[in-house]
Amino acid sequence: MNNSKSILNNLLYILFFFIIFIIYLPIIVMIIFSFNSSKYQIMPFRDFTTEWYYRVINDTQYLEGLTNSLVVSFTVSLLATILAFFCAYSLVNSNFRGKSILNLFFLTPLVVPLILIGISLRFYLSAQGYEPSLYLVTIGQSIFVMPLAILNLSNRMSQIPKNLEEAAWSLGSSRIRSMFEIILPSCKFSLIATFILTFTFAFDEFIIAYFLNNFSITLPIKIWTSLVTGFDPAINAVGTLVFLTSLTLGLTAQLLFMKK
Amino acid sequence: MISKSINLININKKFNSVEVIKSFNLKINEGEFVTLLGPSGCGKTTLLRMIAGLEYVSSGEIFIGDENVTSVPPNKRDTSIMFQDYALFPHMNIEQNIGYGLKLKKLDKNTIKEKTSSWLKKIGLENYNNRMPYEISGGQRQRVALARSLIVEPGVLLLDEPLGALDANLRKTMQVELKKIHSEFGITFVYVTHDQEEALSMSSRIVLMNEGEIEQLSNPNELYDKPNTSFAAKFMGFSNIYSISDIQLLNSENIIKHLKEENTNLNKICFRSKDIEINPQKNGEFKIISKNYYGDLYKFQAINSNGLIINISSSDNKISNLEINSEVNLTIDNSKIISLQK
Repeated sequence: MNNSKSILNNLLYILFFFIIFIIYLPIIVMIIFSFNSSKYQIMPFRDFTTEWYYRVINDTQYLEGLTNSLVVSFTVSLLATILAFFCAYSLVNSNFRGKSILNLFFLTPLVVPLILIGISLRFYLSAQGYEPSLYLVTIGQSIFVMPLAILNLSNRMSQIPKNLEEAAWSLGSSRIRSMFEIILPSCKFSLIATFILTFTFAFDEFIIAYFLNNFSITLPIKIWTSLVTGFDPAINAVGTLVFLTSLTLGLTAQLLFMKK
Repeated sequence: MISKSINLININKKFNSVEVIKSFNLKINEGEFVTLLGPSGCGKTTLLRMIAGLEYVSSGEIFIGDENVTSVPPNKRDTSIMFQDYALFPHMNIEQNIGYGLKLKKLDKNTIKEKTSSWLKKIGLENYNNRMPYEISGGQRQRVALARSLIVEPGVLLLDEPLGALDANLRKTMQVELKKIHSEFGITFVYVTHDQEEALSMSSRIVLMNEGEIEQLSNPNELYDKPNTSFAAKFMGFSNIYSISDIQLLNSENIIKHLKEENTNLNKICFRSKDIEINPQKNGEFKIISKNYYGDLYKFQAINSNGLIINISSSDNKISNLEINSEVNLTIDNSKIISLQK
């Protein structure tokens, strides 16, 4: 009996790693080819090289894209985290008719296709007389990542006992003060984690950035244009760098969420 | 410290459509130790939270001292509340927790330091100032919470089952401590509990609550000795509560005589199990049907031929020989029988 169980266990174990392998296979291939000296993305593997990495580092267009992406993503995640903090506070601490519907409204950007957000924002903002630019990208991407930030923070806030704040009020603290002195420190790790998570989402985001932008490029846009204009092996190197950064940030965020 | 009175005038509270407090009137004098006692769901905690300002009243008025505070937010009220789980701020150390109220009062750093260290000393935690709340024991947390509430010198201290999370021994010690602190500071204490023993041992008056209303308001020994209603009697540990129709089933001379002397509009009677005298006798009126040992006493149940069950307890050694199915006669002193209104 035990024997058949352990066989089943092992099978599931193998299946698990097989699925993980399938998911990560393209990325593994990309990482391997980023060190391949051949100009073409085909086997066999030629010589080991770090040339593509040098090319990327010395390519001003990649650097420009990277800088834009970093600045925009930083602004987006900062904006989204701060707004989401207040938003989550009011959602968690209030009880009014229609709260669950409003809650849903806050979360819809998560399920609406990105392309719709991109198009509608482009049309709306152009009609208002705004030129597509990185500022608009910042606004658009903030809308895109806000639901995530609200979800994370309200999840944490609903775990904080209500009577912590009540004790502070009874000692003479105003509501604003208790929000900053009691709730904010209790959300410390979640705030950092939310910042990192929204950062990685904004950093990878392509559709909104493409629709709300005229001439400035972000890193995902640069990668896309290099692919359209013909294959450049340096893409593998860029992809590897982005993947490793995202992985590190994502894991850090996960660890911070676990710390509360 | 300046002690304040509390006056609750015609308070009503509804949660959605459920009425949890019904036309509640209560005046608490300065310096009193009043306990709101009752089973869970009777509205005692809601009432306390309304005094603190953490809950709105649906209608009615609350006065603290001479001030009408009905719509005053909690931070502007001269009250301080202490919770069952203490609600210490987890990101502040013990010293910062105790000093938080003073920081809000914008006292200068040295005064805060001075006052908090004198309180740390008073509660016996002078070397714990840098510890975090999760690094100290439940009893110590309880004392920190008490110091944090009292350091702001409130006119009224509200306590929401503050001993509920402690073990039995520590609870007894803290009852004595709290009582001492109350007489030392002389401020008004409003204490919420469902534990009748706690209420009896500490309060100057007890408000027994039932379904959002006052069931009985009296001092502890009056409540213990002379409950007005069967609810109060049950809550105060009377195990023998009978309606008139029950008593008809009783052939016992003694109790029937008492009832005949009473006026007829009486509804129910009660008496304590320890006040019944047991006389073992062959062919006695009652038969023992259960016997349980509780350390310093035995508890019995006896039944008569009409099926009326009476609870008896005794610490008498002779009685401990009684076994199930022993036949006994029961008598009770008339003065021990209490008439109830409902």
